[in-house]
Amino acid sequence: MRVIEYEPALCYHTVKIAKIIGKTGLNKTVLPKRQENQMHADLLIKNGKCLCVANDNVYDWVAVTGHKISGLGYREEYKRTFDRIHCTIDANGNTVLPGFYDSHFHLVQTGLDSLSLDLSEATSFDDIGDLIKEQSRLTPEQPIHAKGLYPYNLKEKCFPSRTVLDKFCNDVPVWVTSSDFHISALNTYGILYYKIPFTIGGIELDSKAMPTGIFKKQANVILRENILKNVSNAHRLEAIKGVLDDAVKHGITTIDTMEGGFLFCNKDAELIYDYKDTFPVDVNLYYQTSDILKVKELRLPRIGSNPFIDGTLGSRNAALNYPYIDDPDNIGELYFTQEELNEFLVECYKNRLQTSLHVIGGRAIELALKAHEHALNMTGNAGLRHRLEHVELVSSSQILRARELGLVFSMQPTYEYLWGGKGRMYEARIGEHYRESNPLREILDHGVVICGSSESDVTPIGPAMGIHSAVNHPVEEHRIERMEAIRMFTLNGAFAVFEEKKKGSLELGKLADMVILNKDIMKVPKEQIKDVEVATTIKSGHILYHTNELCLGVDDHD
Amino acid sequence: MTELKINLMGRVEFKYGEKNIEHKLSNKGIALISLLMLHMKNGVSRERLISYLWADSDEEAAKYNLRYNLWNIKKVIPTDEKGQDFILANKDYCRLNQNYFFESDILQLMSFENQETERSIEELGHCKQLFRGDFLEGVYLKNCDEFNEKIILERIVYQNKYVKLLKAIAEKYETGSQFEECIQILSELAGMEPYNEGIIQSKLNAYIQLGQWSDAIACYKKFEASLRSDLNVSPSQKLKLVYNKLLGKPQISTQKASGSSGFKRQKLDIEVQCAENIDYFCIADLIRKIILRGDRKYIFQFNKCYLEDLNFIQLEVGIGYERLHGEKCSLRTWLPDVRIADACIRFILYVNDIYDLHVSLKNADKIDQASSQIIQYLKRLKIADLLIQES
Repeated sequence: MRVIEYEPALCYHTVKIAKIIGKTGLNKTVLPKRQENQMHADLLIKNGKCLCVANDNVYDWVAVTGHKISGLGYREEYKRTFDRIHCTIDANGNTVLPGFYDSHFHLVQTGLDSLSLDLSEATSFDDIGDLIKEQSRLTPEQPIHAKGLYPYNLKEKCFPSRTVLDKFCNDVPVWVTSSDFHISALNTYGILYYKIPFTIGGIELDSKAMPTGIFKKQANVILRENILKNVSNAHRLEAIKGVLDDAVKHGITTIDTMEGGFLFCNKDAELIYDYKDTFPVDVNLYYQTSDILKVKELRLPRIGSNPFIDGTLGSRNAALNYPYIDDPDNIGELYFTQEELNEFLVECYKNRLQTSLHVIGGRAIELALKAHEHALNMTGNAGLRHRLEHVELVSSSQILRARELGLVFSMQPTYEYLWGGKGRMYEARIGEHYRESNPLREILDHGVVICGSSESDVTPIGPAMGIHSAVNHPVEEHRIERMEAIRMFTLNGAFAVFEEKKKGSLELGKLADMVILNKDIMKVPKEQIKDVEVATTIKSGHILYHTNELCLGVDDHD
Repeated sequence: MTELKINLMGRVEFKYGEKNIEHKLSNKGIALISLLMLHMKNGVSRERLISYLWADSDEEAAKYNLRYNLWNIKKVIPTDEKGQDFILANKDYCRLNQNYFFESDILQLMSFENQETERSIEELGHCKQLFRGDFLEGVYLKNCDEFNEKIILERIVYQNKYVKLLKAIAEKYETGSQFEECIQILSELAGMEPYNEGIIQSKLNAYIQLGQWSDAIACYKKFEASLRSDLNVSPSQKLKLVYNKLLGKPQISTQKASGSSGFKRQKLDIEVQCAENIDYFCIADLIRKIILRGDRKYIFQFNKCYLEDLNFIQLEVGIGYERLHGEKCSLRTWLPDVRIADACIRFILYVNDIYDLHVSLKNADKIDQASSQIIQYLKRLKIADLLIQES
């Protein structure tokens, strides 16, 4: 038996090398050299289409011993290789993939929001009233936290004041937040229940100089902080548990979570820091802060996507190179000057911290690129794989400069599914420029690594949806191949957090983080990729999730 | 001795002698006393009290509830030693008995109004202690909209009073040069108004007065981080200017004493190569390594005329300058030795302003003549924290 050995592939740059090696190794079983004779496997997935992802190899089976992948091969060679196999899963000809990465996630916020009342579908105060009354009935004597209110969707076109909310509920505190978290409203009970600093800016007053219950800017920030910091860790952990269960059902085995900072709560980041080793999947914390000292003290190798360099297209504050179509006097906002961002990044480079900057519009991307160029010039510290988050409206020349800087793009293809294409939100905001959003094809062709994510709960959890959205991009020239899209959610995700040597592909010796799908994702019609479901999720050799669709057998000898 | 003490700021507290009695009063009973206390002088009509507290009841039930609560209060708070009742009520009006001897935080605060500037620090300090929290903390009465409005209004009023009081105390401490106490009060104020630049500026000034430069810098950095983290904005240019001045003073100082202000000068250890018969080789190597390892932003703020002279012997100067500032650094075709030597000496002294510069000469016996003379000159200056030795 010929044994093929090579270093785990390094994402984009080494995929080509791996491909070459892969050709020579086609149809050859891959086993550890020293264990070529007889050995045991704790788990065997057979009859699958096991995509290596690092190269084009498609194995028939993959074996796991302990936490790691102990063999990959074709046909029934495992019978000769393993003298004992404890457990066997028949993949029924479906795809087996490395465990998915979701590279930009808000774990705690998703959890807390999942326990909140959802007002995103409300179109009038009456709708809000019905939902709050129902919630009050379901959870009597519990404060009500309602999220996702979009005032432009309401018939009244404004936020409900406390007197309006009092009519819906006056026996528990009610807190309503806008979909972008920039505005809050409290009923009168809420005003008296939560500690409100009335001397601060952002408190809306009525004609009698009394608070209307609507809080913006500084007052909203402090109110959020006061409320969120009083949410107990037990409640937070309960909320996270539900989200992680959902993530596991979608095949996610590693999450890069952005916690704390602007409009979030630092207690979220502290909780993840303290408990991340207790979660069933791997969680990498990006502490959203500009406090480099704090991050260094926590010995974190990276700093989160706060600062936001600009806003969002939905809120019309992403920093564009042209005016918004539906707001012609507005080209969006930059929250940093060049000098400030230069200074911040130089400090991060000096401290060898990986950064992730939230950039959406062309001007924000430009600001970030210039700051990275400056910081690299000043410090000479390369190889930190700094990330740009979202990068929705990047130009060709910016992509090239990003490649030169070794930047990784962290993108959310599902944005295109939800908002891209003719007649959708992107077009409403930026007109014909919607054709330029999320140019995945061009970015990959220019050699920039893209890691994929949901930015839960901005879009729903589910890498299959992300892969679908990348393959079916509404603008045809931006579409990418299935395997490229899969890499975004596997190997490239690992690359973005320096984990590609131990995770992200099905290769010998890597951690046994794997997913079995209920279909062959490479063969289903591309319009149906989003409907492909996860049948089994395996983390470090342990089955975390398994449907009954597949055959699961326990055997001492297969 | 006062038997009855009533605190309405923070968690409501009714003490009779040593015993807490608030639990014997209903929420509406507490609300009733609070309303009467806010209208200590004239009292409140029964009709008004009913509209505050029993607006949702029919007239008879409301009247009964008021009577019952008055009776209950009378039962819980006994007559004083002169046999006087705490509440005086007739057919139409109710009011607190001004002759009944009791203490209340609200009444003390009312008597304190608008006299901050005339009061001593001790008096202001006593007043500060009365602010144990928000007005009627934890109190909310369902279906008593008017009363709840009243609580909100009073909270706004007293929060503003508290801020005004703290500002007055800080000002008095500042005037009396009691900067440590001033900082303490300003920190409390910053807790209430975390994004108020005026408070931070006053704090920076107080630290500067105390010579606590590092604390001042830490204070600014913390404020800057919280502005960025919470509001995603930067401090104003005005505050940045204060900070830049703050940085400028101790860091540019060449005095050893600057260390005592809390600043830690960074050490820059540099080993330079020597080569015989190549003019300025050693000093050019030193300049190159300083540029590579030092803070370029600081280095390239050095006078451009001197940088252009240095560019004559070390091209990294021009390259680095262009990268940072985006403009050309001239390259001379010829320079007299005296200009080169002068630029080198000034440059090294400039760098030594912020770094403890430790230079080791490798193969010192092979040092070129021009570099040797510059090194000897620097050694003769005996500058603090500049160490040049043979390795």
